[in-house]
Amino acid sequence: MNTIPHEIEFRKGDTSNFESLWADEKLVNALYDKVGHTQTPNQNQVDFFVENVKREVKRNRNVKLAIDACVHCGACLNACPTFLTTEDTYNSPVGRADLIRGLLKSTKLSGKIFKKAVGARELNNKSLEDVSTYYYQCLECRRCGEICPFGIDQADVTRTIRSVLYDMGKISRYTAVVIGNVERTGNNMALPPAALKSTIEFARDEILEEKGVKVIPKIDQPAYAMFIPPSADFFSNIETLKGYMLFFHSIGFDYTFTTKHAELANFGLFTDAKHLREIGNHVVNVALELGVKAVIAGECGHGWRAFKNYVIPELEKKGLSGLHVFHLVEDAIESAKIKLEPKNNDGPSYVYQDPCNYARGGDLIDEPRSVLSSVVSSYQNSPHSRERTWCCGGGGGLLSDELLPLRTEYAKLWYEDAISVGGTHVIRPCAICKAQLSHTLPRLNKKHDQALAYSGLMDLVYKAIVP
Amino acid sequence: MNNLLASILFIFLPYSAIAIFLVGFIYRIASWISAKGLTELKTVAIVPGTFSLFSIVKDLAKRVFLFYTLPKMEKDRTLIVGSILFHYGIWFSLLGHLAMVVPLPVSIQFHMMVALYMGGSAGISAFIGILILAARRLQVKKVRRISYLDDYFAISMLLALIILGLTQTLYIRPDFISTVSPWLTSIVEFRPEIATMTQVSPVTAIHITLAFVFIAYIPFGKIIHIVAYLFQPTITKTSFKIKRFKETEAYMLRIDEEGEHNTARNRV
Repeated sequence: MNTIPHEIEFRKGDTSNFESLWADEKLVNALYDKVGHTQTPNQNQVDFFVENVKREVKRNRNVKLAIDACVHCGACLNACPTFLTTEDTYNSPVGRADLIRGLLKSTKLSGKIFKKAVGARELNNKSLEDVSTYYYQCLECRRCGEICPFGIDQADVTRTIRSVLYDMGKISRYTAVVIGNVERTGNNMALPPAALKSTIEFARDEILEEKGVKVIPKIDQPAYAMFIPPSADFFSNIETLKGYMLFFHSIGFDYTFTTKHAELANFGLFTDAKHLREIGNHVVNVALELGVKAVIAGECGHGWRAFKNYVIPELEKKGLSGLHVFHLVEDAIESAKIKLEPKNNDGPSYVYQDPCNYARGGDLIDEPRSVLSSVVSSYQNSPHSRERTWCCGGGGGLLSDELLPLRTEYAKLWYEDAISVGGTHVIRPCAICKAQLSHTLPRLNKKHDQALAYSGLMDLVYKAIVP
Repeated sequence: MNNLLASILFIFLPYSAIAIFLVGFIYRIASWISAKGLTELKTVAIVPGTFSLFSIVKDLAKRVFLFYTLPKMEKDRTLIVGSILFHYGIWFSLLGHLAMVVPLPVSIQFHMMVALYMGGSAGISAFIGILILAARRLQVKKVRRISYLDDYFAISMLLALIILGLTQTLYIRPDFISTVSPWLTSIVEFRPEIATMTQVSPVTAIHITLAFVFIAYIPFGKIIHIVAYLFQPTITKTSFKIKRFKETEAYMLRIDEEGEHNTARNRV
C-alpha cells in the first residue's frame, strides 16, 4: 500500500489511536499572549478540567441542554459521519458527550453510588486523554443536531470542551499553528502581503488572457466593500479567486482586497471562543480602518458560520453590513447584470454537495443552487443533500497530516454518494472541503478506480461569465 | 387495606411526589434559563430558514407530533415506529386519566365505553411501542452500548405502569368513576378523601403508587425531555437573518480607458 512510513493504521471500532499532535508550550503561550489568557499554575489538571467544564456548561444554554436533555435514543449514531465510518462509540455524538457526562456524573451522588452503571467515569489522566483524543476526532458538522429530536448539537459541546482543554494548554498543533498564523499575519497560510498581491496580479493576468477582460482589483484601498475569501483561495484555489474577481468586475462592484485580513476562515470557532472573537474583531477593525460599508465573504463553510453569527452582528453594531458573495451573484443573475453561458461548463456530470455550515444554520442552501443552475447546463443534488449533507471529513480543524487515514475513512460517505449518482465532478464551495478533497480524492479515486474531480462554485461562475 | 396504609399511599405519597416534582421541575428550568450564553455566537439555530416565531413553532410541532427528524435515519426504523406508538399511546392514556378529574358532559356508560376502547387502544399502542424501544435498546449493540441504569429504570417503570394500567382497563375493569375518580379529584382540590379507595384492587393500588414514584423521578432523569426541548436554543431561537443590500452605491466603480479607479471617494 502506498502510505507514508509512520501513518497510523485505521482500525474499525476503535479509533483511540488517532491522537492529534499537540501544540508545544511555546506555541500555546504565544496564543495565550494574544488573547491575554493566563494559565492557572499548579492546579491538578483533572480538577481544573472538571471545574471549568462545569462553569462552561452552566454558562451556555446550548451546551447545558445538550448535556441535560439527551435520552440516549441513538438517533445521532445513524447521522454522525465519524460514527458511521468508524463504529467507535466514543467517536459518536452521544458517546463523545458521555465522556463528559460521565466525568460530571462521578462528582454527583448518583454517580458515587451507582458508578459505571449510570455511566460515571473515573476522573484521572487516562479519562482526560480519552476526552482530548476523541474531541479532536469530531468534525463539528452539526449533522447530529439536525437529526436529534431535541436539537442537541454536539458540535457546540465539542467547541466548549476543546476550549477548556485549550485553557489547560492542550490544543492540536495544526489548529494552533493556523490560529497563530492568522493572528500574526492576517491569514491562515501566513502569506505575506507581497505574495497576496502577486497572486492577485497573477489571477488578473490570467483573466485577461482567458477572458480578454482587464480587471483592476483594489488592494488595501478605500472602497464600498471589503472582500475576504479564505486564504486558501490565494494559494490553491486560484480558479475560485478568478471567479470572484471577474464577477465583481462584471457587475462593476466597488470592492477591495485586504492584505491585513485576507482570511474568511476562523479556526477560533473550532477550538476557543476567545480566538473566535479575536479573529472576528480583527475583521471588523480592518473594515473600519478601510472605511468600507460592507464586508463580503468568499467560499468557506465554517468561516461563514463564524462570519454570520459573530462578525456580521459586530459589523451591524458599527453600521456596516456583511454578505456572502453568493448573495451578490444571485442578485446579479436576477437583475441580469451578468451574462452567463452554462455550456462553457459542459462536460462533467456535476453533483452539488452542501458544505455543512452553509446548510445547517448557515441559511445558504438555495442561493448556491440558484447560482449553479445558471452556470451549468445540469447538475444533480447529492443523495444526502441540503441539511442532510455529509461533511467532507476535514471539518472541525481536522485537516492535519496525522489524521489523514481517519479523514479518508470519513470521506467515504460523500464520495460514495457522488459516485452512486454517476457524478464525475463534485461542487463544494468551501475551502476546507476543497483541501480535504485534494488530500483524500487521490486515495479514494485509486481505490474505487474513478476520476472524481472537484471545484468550488465561483470557479464555474468564472467559466460561465460572458464578458 | 388498612387506613394507615391507604393514607400513606393515597395522601402522603401523592403530595410528596407532586412536591418533589414541582421543586425539581422548577430547579431544572431555572438552571436552563440562567444559562444565558450561546458559546459566543449570535444564534445557534440548526434548522434552515427558521427566521420567524411561526417557523419555530411549526418545526417544534413537527418534532413532537411527527418525529420528523427520525425518518431520515436509514436502516433503523424501530426508533420512529416505537416512538410514535409509545408516545401517542401515552398521550391518549394521559388524556383519559385527565377525564377522571375533569367533569365531562357525557353519560357514565359512554365514559366507560370510551375508557375501554380508546383507553385500551392507547394502552396497547404504548405497550407495543415500549416493547419495540426496549427490544431495540437490548438488541442493537450500538444502542446497548449507550444504555445505562437510568434508561433501564425508566423503561421498567413505564412498562410496569402500562401493564398494570392495561390490566385494569381490559381485564379488571374497576368502577373507577366512583372510586379513583372522586379520590383523585379530592387530591387535586386539596381536600384529600380516601374513603372510596380502601377497597380498590391491589393492581390499582400498585399502579397509583408506581405512578407517583415515577412523577417524583421525572425531574431527575431523562424523562425531563418532555419539556427540555422547549429550552434548546438550536431549535427554539430564530436564525440570524442577513440583510441583503441592493444599493446602487455599491456599483459606483467605473473604469476609464486608462484603467484608473474613478470612484467618488478616490477623487477626494
